[in-house]
Amino acid sequence: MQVALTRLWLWFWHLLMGNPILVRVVQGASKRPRHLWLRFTYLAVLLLVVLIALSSQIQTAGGSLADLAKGASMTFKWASMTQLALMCFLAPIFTAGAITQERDAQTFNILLSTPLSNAQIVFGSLMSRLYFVIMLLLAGLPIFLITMVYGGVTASQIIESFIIAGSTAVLTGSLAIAIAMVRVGTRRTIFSFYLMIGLYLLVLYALGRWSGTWFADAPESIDGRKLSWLAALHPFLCLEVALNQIPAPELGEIASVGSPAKYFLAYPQRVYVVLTLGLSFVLTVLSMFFVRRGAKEGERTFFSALAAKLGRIPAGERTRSPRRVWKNPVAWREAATRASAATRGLLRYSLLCGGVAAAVILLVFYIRDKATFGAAGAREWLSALVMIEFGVVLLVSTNTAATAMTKEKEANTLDLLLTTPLTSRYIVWGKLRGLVSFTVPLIAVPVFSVLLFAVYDLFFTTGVGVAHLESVLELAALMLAFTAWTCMLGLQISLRSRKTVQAVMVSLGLVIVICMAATGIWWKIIATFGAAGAALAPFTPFTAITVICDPSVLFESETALAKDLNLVRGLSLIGSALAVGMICLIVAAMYKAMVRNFDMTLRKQTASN
Amino acid sequence: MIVQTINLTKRYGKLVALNNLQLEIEEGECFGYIGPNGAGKTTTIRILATLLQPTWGEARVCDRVIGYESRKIRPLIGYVPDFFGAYEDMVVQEYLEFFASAYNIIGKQRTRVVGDVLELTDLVGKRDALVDSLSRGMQQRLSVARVLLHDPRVLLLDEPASGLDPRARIEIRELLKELRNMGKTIIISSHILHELAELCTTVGIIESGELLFHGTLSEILARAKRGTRVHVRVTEQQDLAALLLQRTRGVKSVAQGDGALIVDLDSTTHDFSGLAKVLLNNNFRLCELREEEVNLETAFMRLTKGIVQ
Repeated sequence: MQVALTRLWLWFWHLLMGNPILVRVVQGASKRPRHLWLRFTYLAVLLLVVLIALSSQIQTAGGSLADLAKGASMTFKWASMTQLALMCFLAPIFTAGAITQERDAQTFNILLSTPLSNAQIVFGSLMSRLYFVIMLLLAGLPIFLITMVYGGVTASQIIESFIIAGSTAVLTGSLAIAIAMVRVGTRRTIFSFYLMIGLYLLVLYALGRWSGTWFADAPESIDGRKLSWLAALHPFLCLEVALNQIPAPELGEIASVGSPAKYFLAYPQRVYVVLTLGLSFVLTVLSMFFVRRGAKEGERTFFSALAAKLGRIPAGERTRSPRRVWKNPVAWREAATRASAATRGLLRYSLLCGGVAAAVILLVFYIRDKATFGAAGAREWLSALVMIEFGVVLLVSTNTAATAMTKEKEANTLDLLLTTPLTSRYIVWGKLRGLVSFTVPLIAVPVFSVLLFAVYDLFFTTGVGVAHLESVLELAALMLAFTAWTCMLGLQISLRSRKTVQAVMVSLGLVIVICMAATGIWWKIIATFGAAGAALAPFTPFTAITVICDPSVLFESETALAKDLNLVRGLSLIGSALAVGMICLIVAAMYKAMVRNFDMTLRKQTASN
Repeated sequence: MIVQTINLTKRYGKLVALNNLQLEIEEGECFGYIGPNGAGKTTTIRILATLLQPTWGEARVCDRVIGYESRKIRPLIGYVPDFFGAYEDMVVQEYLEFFASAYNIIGKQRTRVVGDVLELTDLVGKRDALVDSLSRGMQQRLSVARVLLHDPRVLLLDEPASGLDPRARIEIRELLKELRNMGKTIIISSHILHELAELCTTVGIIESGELLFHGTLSEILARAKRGTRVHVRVTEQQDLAALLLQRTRGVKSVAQGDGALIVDLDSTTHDFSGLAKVLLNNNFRLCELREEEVNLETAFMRLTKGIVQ
């Protein structure tokens, strides 16, 4: 009996506390300077948000205890939202690496040959990925406790906010581990992983704010919003409920609603936690079945037989007719061969077809339902559509650029290239040219969407309309310039990084943060300028799209826009020309710096190998 | 002198990968570069391929100094690394056309050159095959095809036969022999010494970044030869035969090994026919009497200490 108990205890000990995979990460990772800086930045951002919000709330508060408590409550809401946003951004970064790291590191096979059970390997991998994220969450706890000093914030609210953030991190971790263990992931999957998480959060949040998904009998919030049916499926929507920003109906009030659904509406935050943790559990258990599945590699399965029958997996050597190589081979490689890779091709065609279809559907709605939909409504929808499409274009171009040099390093082709007479200027220019050629068809989608409306308005609309022909040119030039900038940024980071995963994470993180910060700050500035804001808007990508697609955002009413329309169009054209010029200068400076540092950076990397 | 290094030194931090390397290779020579792992072979080849810059000293290829005239050197060299750099989603013809463009071979000339090289390396049938789906042997052949595109004067081959099966190894060796006969200067590093012996005209042995020996194959074998060693086998009473030989004039030492007696003669004695005479006169039935051959492997083992950095 004692032997059995000891064995059981040892099994549990090796599952978590004494798990060698976890112990290695806990001992090693916490000492890394990179992690120290990330932890510092995370806490600094959180502290800054709390201090700024707290001081502004206390200044505006009357001085009574009730006012102070109200201020602290508002501060807590800001801090919770920031924490969740940071978690949604950081958790995929820390967990996505699992997708390929297990396969890249030859140590995984050694691990499989040890007596560690499947559960111990999966838990070890998962916890080692989540360790840093959980530590970040816990490190932020004292900052949240500051908000409790003035009252208005309860311990249960803090716990709820932490559990929502934590369960979101656990789900992303489990998803990454499942992809790694089932072995369906490649390096490209990391980008798709980011994109899917980002799109899920954005699209579901947008839908949650749309009145069509609201529960009709739910009480209204101060700003007129109601609880969405999707609240239990989205961390931000359910956090809004947990923070009392969106009131949820009492369970007793919605007795008429069916059994599982009424819990979705009454306790969306709890349902979200249960759902995410439940799904994480399912994914983790599923992963366990696939840990040692590699032992059966090559055996005939139902799926492999089906794939072979459909001709998807050719046996042995694969062949294809050769394509014509351009005069600049580097540009050809970037534009032609990398773009044609299976998943990238799928992504490209999905974006092209989806974007064109969405634009056509929007135009049909506009034409058929002009009275209710109106030009203003169409502009809003068009602006949102173009923004989402261009957002995806920026992410795709950044990701492709970030892998441009690291892939050469990892595939050992860079040395071959460097022994040819190609100069660093030629290589960098070829990469940039190829990347821009690769993204041009993607940029064509949002441009086509605006062109469709501009052509329709030219022939069939009188008055303000939805889009103008010069907007098409402005958008095309700006999008090309901004894409060139993201490509250059991605290339710079790719040159400095050794690993693709590292380059992709840093590049995407930088582009997202820069775009978000620039848009937020610039929008505040533009908003104070009225019509003149049209000349300033083109200097950041998303303010440019907003103002070019929907200039009414600068005015209080449609009539005000109609009055100053020509002025706005003129200013927007001038602003766009200046912005394109400025971005081109920045790109040129980055290009020159990269060419100058190209040899030195590579030599340093070779020397430290 | 087509390749020359003068006091070539390369340091990686505290590690000295090359220490005052002096190397001279004539045009048309096939130079075999041998040494233990970490001896500095790859570093030397990477410097000559303009991928690394020396910390100290000078390296010249076709009278052009590496580091100062690297751009002029690159069209003159062809570098085959010890790994195959495969681009994803590229077929053999595209791969060769890609590198041909990199060497500024364009238009009709490119089509002709790629065709010629495919024929020379016997890869015509693989024209449409994706490079990452080729076997290791075919990939290595493609690597050689790549470096022939621009007709370089010097070929730098770093372990071209590593990881290949015997058939692929023989095929690569035959291809290299053909290139040697075409008058190309070949610098080849390898661990498969007997293959180098068949292919190379000169050999260099490097250890711990220092060149221990540089010369022709016969010179290296002569240098490694330490007196005459004879293997003697008798049908019975081998111990008695050993005692007898020990007392024979001109014998330095006798040892037992591998079922035979290993007899080392002193430096002045080269004729070992007297050993047979002594044994036969004492009624021993002689099965084997042969002088031990000194090959490149033996020379390598004798000249290096097995120090790995």
